[in-house]
Amino acid sequence: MGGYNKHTKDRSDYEDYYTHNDKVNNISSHLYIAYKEGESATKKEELINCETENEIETIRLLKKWALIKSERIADNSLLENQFNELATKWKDETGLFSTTFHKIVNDYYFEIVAMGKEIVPFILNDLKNNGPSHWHTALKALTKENPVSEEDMKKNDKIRKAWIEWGKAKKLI
Amino acid sequence: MGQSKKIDLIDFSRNMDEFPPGYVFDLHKGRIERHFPNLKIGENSSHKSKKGDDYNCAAWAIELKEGWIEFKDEHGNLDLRLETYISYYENLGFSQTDTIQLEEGVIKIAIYTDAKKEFTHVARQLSNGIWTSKIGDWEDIEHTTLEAVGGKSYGNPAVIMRKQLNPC
Repeated sequence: MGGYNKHTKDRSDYEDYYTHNDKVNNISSHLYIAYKEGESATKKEELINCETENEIETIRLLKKWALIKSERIADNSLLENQFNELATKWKDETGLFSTTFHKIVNDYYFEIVAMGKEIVPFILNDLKNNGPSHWHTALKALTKENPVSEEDMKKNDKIRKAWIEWGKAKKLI
Repeated sequence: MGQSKKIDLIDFSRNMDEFPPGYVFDLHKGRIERHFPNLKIGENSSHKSKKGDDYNCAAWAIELKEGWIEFKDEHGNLDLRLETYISYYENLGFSQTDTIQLEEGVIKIAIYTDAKKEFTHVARQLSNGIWTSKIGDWEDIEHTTLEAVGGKSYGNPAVIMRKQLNPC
């Protein structure tokens, strides 16, 4: 079928259109499930390939979208792994200190902050899981915000709660 | 002090009723010792609490289990000067002394400083002569000597302070 005829609106074309849409929806739902379950990029590629006999433009775009999405997920996982590794080293090296100065003047802490504001959700999750409240300085630097009142600054559970509430309000956790 | 019984990891085949209330499992074997080469958990020291950052050593020195006590200077920077901590405890009734000797009715604290003479830690003497320290975000522990938590991390005790307790 030629390119022009492809867009002729007869009954069969509508049927193709709906069939195509069903396929797109089907693939989309698979992709969504895969995304939610954190499946690997390879797995998503397989899900797409099983439908590629139908070479419709939308499928091609969807595949492209899926790959971009997969790469983003992979990047995010890499970032999270990198954050977890640095955070573990930081806690292990500075957990013994009782002064904020000795906790934050640390190479691992600097490296974490240098990763940029994409790591804010990871920090907030760590706080939520009872991580040390000395993430306060990093969060303040990365977000340019401070939800902790001056009177709560000496109470670490209140610092933790203030940031968790802030994160929830911003839909970051 | 008798040598305390120690388990490195929870053995799930064992009945939890075997362990006394408040038993602290050593889930992080070696973590504290790694920073304090003179400290041997179960020999010259023991764990006494769960880890947590609700309070720090400066609070624990005055028996508080809430609050992260630290200071800022006139420019808003963290103040680690030894004099600042001495002054804080003096305002609470402590005075400097030369001896760590146990005295009845007296509470003693030891303030540690690093090579730059900046505050790192404070330990408190218990009524049995043993010292107690809150290790940062981690557990509070008891140790038989001040040297047990001395070394590259906390430096050494720089000042000993005493406070007469009011008779009940």
